[in-house]
Amino acid sequence: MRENNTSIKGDQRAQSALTEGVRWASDLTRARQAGPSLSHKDWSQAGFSTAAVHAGTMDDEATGAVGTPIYQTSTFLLGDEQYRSVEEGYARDRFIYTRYGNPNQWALQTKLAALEGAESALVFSSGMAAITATVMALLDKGAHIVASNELYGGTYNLFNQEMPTMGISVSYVDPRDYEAIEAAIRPETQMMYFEALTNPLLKLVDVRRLADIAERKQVRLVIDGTFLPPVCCRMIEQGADIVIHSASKYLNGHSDLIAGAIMGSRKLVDMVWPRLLAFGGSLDPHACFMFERGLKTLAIRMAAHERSALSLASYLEKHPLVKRVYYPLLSTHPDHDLAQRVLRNGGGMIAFEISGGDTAALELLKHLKIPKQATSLGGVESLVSLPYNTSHAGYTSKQRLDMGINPGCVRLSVGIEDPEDLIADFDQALKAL
Amino acid sequence: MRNGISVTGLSEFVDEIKQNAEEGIAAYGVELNWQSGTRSKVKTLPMTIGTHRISRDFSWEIDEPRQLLGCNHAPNPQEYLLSGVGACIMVGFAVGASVMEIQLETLKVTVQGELNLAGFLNITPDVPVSFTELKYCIEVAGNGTPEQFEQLRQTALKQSPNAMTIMNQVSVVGDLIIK
Repeated sequence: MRENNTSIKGDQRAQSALTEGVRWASDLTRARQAGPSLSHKDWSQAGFSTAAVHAGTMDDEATGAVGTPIYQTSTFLLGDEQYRSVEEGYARDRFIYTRYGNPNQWALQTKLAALEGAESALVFSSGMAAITATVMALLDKGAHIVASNELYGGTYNLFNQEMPTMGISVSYVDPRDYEAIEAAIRPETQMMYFEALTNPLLKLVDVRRLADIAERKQVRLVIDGTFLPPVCCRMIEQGADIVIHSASKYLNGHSDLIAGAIMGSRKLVDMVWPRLLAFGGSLDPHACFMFERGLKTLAIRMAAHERSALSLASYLEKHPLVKRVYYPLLSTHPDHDLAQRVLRNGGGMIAFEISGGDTAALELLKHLKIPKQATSLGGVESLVSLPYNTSHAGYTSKQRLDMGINPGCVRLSVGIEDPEDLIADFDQALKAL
Repeated sequence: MRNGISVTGLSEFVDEIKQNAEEGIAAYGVELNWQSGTRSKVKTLPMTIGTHRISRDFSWEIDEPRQLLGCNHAPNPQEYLLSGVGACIMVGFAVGASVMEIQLETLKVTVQGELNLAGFLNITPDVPVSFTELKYCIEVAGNGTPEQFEQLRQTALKQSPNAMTIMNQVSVVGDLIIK
């Protein structure tokens, strides 16, 4: 029934559930396990940097080349074992076709799972591909979502414009009003969807508290952890069922590719995988290679982001033209106590409000020399944007005001530049106003 | 996948229940609202499997034929009962075939039963209200042997929650709420 391992092109540990004499479901013996992966080393005791560099990365056996080779192929030679995997439903454990799985995707997924402390991961061609596949996998016809009322604009558009077409409804609730969140759950609610750190005002959500509500109400908790990668906080440890990332941001960290990722239990990630196949948001092997290279430096990048962000936030807080600064590690941040409890690293996102409204904010952007005026975040270079005409352009001005996004709000993704240089640049730009 | 069923997923679910019995508990419900005459509209209630809730956004109508004072707009309660038994046997048969590595080509289940309405109408008190017998027939084509198909027939019936609910009887408890 089973072939020896040399014929297996994929995860050696993953085997057929069928053995001689199976007559009914109770005779089946296959249990879920972490992965799929080409390596099964336990990285749970390793530090973030060690896991980021080594977990999942494969040296080339044929040549001794260090690092994962690029398997730039769309398809794989098929044998009996792969045909069997399709027939019996374990095709995710074998190499068949790159949309199904590819060694570069697996290397990356193993690294992501190790960093998050999760059983399994999937990579996607964008963060929105990851969100769409996850949401559609975990919801049924007629389902209801309880979501944050401060969602990233792309997610809001998906929920607001696409979900109703599929008979799925959404209630939007203040992400820090836990009583309202619980009250919004209906009999048909299947999912709570929140962002760990909101965009742009950086409200820190208490994931443990959300997880407690989700468990009592028997619904799934999905957390978008894009602003807080695993080095900052492991969402699965906090109780999330699945954590989603736009990997175009901190995980890759170099503003040079578009990708998405999810991490969670093998059970739930296996549920999402068929939607990845159906919706087609697979990540190309070369993009996986770039993503893997970027991910290796996640821990040291996050340390640099935090150092520069905290210095700059502290400077801005004292500036007379700056009305308000949001950064979780500032003692003035409304969620500072929670941040102290749950964050290992405060990340690199800052929001601040400048006197003079959006006109003054636009003027400030023109005078800045280091931060580039661009949407996106999490790259090594500082990026600055105004929510009203970028990430939150899909909301009305009243909706933005209701969220607390006042005129003059600036979103700053602090890169890894030296804090002294960033402060000097903001100093000259503010003086020019 | 053979017969459209993932035996890998099934095996992993079996193991999950072996590790945590709570994951094997499934709770269902339907709600019926009277429309008029003998016609009612049914909707499914959210169900739970293990510790998680699942949306069940389905509805259908039930009616009686004109001869039984209805409008014949939909199948009647007995037909839904028979289809529930037949579908349950069919699921077991298809699952069993998959774990026995049998490729099915066609599978048809018919379920028939006969009632004496004199029982329901209480015209003759000693006539049973219930069906006195249900007859099922499974027609199958596939690459299994006759012995394997016979084993599957027996297993599908023995493991069918709906068939066993009828064969073993089940207590029916109820409430009345007057508004």
